This record gives sequence, C-alpha cells and structure tokens, in this order.
Amino acid sequence: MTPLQIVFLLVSIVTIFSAILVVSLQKIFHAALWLIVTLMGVAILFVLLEASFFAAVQILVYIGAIAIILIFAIMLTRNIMSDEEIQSNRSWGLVLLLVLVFAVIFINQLSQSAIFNSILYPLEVQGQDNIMAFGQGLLDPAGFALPFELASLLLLAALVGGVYLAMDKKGGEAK
Amino acid sequence: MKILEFLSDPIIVIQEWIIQLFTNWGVTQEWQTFLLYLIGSAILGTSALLITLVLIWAERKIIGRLQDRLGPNRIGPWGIFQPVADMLKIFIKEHIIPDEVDPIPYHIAPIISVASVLLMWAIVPFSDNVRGSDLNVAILFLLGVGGLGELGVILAGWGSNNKYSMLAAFRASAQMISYEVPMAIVLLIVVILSGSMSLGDIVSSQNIANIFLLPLGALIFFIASIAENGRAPFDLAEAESELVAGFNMEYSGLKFGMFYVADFLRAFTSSVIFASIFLGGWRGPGAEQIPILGFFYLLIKSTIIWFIGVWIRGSMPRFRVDQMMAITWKFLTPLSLALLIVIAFVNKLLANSSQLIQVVVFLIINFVLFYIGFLISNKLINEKVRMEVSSHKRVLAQPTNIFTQPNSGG
Amino acid sequence: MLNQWLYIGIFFIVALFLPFVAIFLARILSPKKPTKIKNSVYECGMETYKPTWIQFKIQYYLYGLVFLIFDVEIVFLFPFAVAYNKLALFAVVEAIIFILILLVGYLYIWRKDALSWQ
Repeated sequence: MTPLQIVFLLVSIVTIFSAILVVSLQKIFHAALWLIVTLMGVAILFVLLEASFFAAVQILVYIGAIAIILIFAIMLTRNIMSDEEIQSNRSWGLVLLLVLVFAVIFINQLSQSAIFNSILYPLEVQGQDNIMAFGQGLLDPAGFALPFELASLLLLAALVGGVYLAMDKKGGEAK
Repeated sequence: MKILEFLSDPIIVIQEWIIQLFTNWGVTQEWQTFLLYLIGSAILGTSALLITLVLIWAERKIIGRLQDRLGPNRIGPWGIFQPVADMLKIFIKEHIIPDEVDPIPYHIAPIISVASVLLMWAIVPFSDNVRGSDLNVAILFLLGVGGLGELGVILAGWGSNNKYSMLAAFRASAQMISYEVPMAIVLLIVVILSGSMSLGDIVSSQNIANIFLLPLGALIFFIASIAENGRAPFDLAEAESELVAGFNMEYSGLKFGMFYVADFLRAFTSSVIFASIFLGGWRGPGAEQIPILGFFYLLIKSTIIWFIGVWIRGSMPRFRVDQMMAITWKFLTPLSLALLIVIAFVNKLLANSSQLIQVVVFLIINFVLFYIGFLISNKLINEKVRMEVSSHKRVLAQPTNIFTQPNSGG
Repeated sequence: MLNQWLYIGIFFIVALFLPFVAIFLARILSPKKPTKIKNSVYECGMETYKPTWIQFKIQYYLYGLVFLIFDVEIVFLFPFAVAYNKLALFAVVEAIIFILILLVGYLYIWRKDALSWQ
C-alpha cells in the first residue's frame, strides 16, 4: 500500500468516526467539537485529491466561520450545563443492521460499475495555474458568470434574512 | 572557498549534506523527503519558540523605557536572563485544575493556541529557495490559521467552566473574527497586484515594495493584525481592571505560559508576514546572490514593524468594546472594500501604461480614499454635548485671594 | 504539490507536539497539592451559589453571521484575484457588481443598527 493510501484510510476512519460521534453524543458542545474534527478530516481529504484551494477554503470558511457561529448559536439557545438527552431511540440495532446490509450491497454494485474502474489521471496544471483557470472560468460570460452573480444574490438574501430574524429580540435577552 | 559557500547559503548546504548522508545510508527517496521535512519543521518550530525569549525581554525593556522606568535589569547584564528566570519559574508552578472542567477542551486549548501561531511560520519565505512550504494557497492558509486561533480562545473559555472566562472568551473571539474581514480584503488586493496566492511569488513580484503602492492597505492590515493579536490598544479581553483576567483565568503554570507565549510570538509572526507582503520580505541589495543576506533583511524589516507595534502598545489608551467594533465594521471594512473596487477597476484601465504612472495613480487613490474615509468618519462620530457639571458658582470653592477679597475664603 | 501539504501536515504535528511536551514536563516537575479551596471555580473570591449560566447577547451571533457572509464573499473573489491579469475589463466589472450587491446588504444592516455593540 502506498503511503497515500494509508493516509487516506486513516483520515477516512477518523472522519467517519467523528461524524458518528457528532450525531450520537449527548452533550451538544462536545458534538460541536467533533464536528470540527470531521470538517478537518474533509479538508485533509481535499488535500489528498490535490484540490488545495478547496482544502484552504474548507478550513477558512467551515472551521473558521461556520463552526464558530454554530458554537455561538449553541450558547444562545441552551442552558449549556444541563443537556442530557439520549440521542437515539430503541431501534438503533435494527437500523445499524439495515445500514450495513445496504452499504455492502451498494459498495459491491458500485465497484463493478464503469466509474470506479477508470484510471485516475493526475492533474496537469500545478501551482497557481489551476486556480487561475478556475477564476477565468468563474468570470467568463460563457462560463459561470451568471451563477457567480446569483451566488452574490444568495449571500445578500442570507445576510438580510439572518439579520432581520435575529434583530427581533436584540439586546441582552437570550433568544 | 568552501567556508564562503557555506556562509552565503548555510541552510541549502546543510540540506544537501543531509540528503547526501541519507543516500549513503540507502534511505529511499520518499523517506528522505519525509525525514528532511521532519528535521526542518522541528528546527523551525523550536527556533520560533526560542525567539519568544528574546522578544519577551526586548518588549519589557522597551515598554519600561516608554513608561519612563528601567525594564528588568537585575538578572544578568541588562536583565537578559530575565525571561530564562521567568521560564524556570513557570515550569515549576503547580497546575491547579479546577473541579468540573471539561478535560479535553481545557487541556487542548493552550496547545491549539500555540500551534496556530507556529503554523504561520511554515509558509514564510526566508530567501529565494529557503522556506518551509511553498503552498500555492498560502494567503488563504494564513486566514484559516487565524480561525484556528479563535477556536483556541473559545475552547479555553468553555473548558474553564467559569462564566466570566466564557464571557471574556466570547468577547475576544468576536473581536478576532471582526478584524479578520478587513485583513482578508486587503490580502485580496495584494493578490490582485501580484497575481498569485503563494507568499514566495508575492515577495518575488515586488519590484516596488507593496507599501508604496498600497499605503492605505498596509495601514489597514497593520491595525487589523494588532487587533487580531489582542494587543493594546485592543486588549479589552485581557484588561485587568475589567474582567479579572479574561479567558485564561483558570489556567496556571505552564498552560498560562503557553497563552503568554502565543500572544508574544503572534506579534512577531504578524510583523514577519507584514514584512513579507508589504515590505518585500527577503528582497534587498544582493539578496539573490547571497541568500543569507535575505534572511537578515527579513529580520530587520520585521523587527522594525514589531517595534512600531510595541511602541503603539506603550502609548495608546485602551479602546472600549463598542469603539473597537465600530472601528472595524464601520470604518475599516467599508474603506477596504472601496479600496478594492477602485484598485481593481483602475488597475485594469492602466494595464498598458508605464510603471511610474501606475505608482503615482495608486498613491493618489490611496490618499484620496483615506481622506474621504477620514472626513466621513468624522461626520459619523456623534459627539454628545457635554453636560454642565457645575452650572452655578459654588461659594465656598472659589480660589480667590483671601487677603484682597474680604468675604472669600469661607 | 502534495509535498508542500505534507510539510504543513508534519509541521502541524510538530507544532502540536512541542507545547504538549513542554506542558507534560511541567506537569512532572510541578508540585501537586490539590486542596478544596484551590480547586473551586473562581468568582471574584466568593463561592458560587447558582448553577453557572450566562446571559448571552445576540450581538455575538450577529457578528459571526456578518463575518461568515463576508468570508464566503472573499473566498469567491480569490480566484478572480489570481486570474486578474488574464481577465478583460468586463470580468472586472462583473466582480465589482458582485461586491456592490453585497454592499447594498451591508448598508441595510448598518442602518438596521446590527453592527453596533449595545
């Protein structure tokens, strides 16, 4: 096994394990911390795919902004010291069995399909060139210029909507 | 001759020697790279932490002189062994762990704070081919590492199980995230000017140092990096008179020392980054042929910027929290956005004209925008009218001469 | 390019390891005498008599939200900045329109007084 495969295996196991912990832990702050580990694992997976721009964006936006806003929201809405609900119901055994069966069938069928047996070509452009191509494609009118502007409209809607909703009870009272 | 070659480029010579050693031992190529990286990062990390000792001493002496007193001068000549004594003392202090702390966030927080500062050293170019890592997204990596620092602060506040330190941690992290926005926008302008996100390329493309093209951007970046570090005049989160001690209240011994180290080291690290981005990094006369000179140029430039930071720390009073937030959201962010729009537009218009015209136009844009921003911010500051404290003369408190006025003096 | 990230990964592990070793050494070298008073939570010198609960202002969440929006906007603009030298004036105008749309939103929240600390 090449070192790349070993690293991929380790990172995947850590990511999946922490993702399971996110949904099953009782203390919600710990779930948020495991979410940060999961996001870091996804960033490392991006690095392994040689998409370094997206790895950096994952760290910057997800861990640096979204995880922090999540923690702020947890603080806002909970009496943090006392949350002790069990996060799963009594049928978790049956569901686990079904998920495993489904996963085995799924992986079996996919590994025989054409997608997974094709050869992966390494990226031709290195360094700054692939980001440059990405930028050119993003702003090209024949490329993705319209989704680019629509993304800014989406951000505008998120900004205005978020502030409007949060400003109802601004100033001292926990919402 | 060999000595001269070694002296002019010591790091590359040592690296070649180590590679030679590994090849003689029969180590494969991949393991060679891995071990070389391991040795390099261990040396870089340790020397960054050791620089902190010099920094602490220098800062205490300078702040002392600014406040008209001598700094530490008992231990060693001019007190140069003071940080060593401090370090020994803090190593042997008891680690008091309060009850009911959350163990994992409490213990990880100082480590993550120091790690986030150390990671910034990995991408700084020390000379033409000596650097930790030539990431092609180094600028985004810098911003992401700032996010890791905020995370360390929040973990420290949560892990202490103490509502005052949680409050202080949230204030500190709100301050840090607010000041990342103007910093990121100014970095965007720098990337526009140099066409690459890698720090090595940014330094190599600065035939004219970026500070002459973007003095306003440099100023915004400098203010934002001081604020993100949490130093005076933005050190509300650590103000002794306000919140007792802030988010690192429940830490004692070396864990507190780690937060202290992270604070001081971050000041120097952000001046190294500033020097690389705006002042031309390792560039200077003769630095291409003799790489060790590049290293010294970088050191001199970043020491000057760090000194200005310490100077500001010793001179200015602290901001209130609402003033601090108003500075970033109402002044720095719109100003940097305006700078971005104007520079992006004008640079495209001037794409074919000569270098001199570009520089002059940029300087004019910077000063005009600064002036406009200054005028607008002056208008936006509502000065509350001062109430009259004493509206009528109080008879007993008049400082008149009791010899000449017969009824005065009570 | 993977080599550069490998260096960052190794450096991250070294950067986590160095403070850990230092703190571990200090744990060994320091005295350990936990008393009940020393271990209690610090509350300006008095005992806590209520369960620890803070009143959390919504201002923090608003700052986080605005920071998130601006962060995503800047991330969209970075490929534009890298490809700047190869773009025509039209593409630059497109990007400026992108920024101006968000400036409109920014003006709205400024007037709504979401940016000032109460």
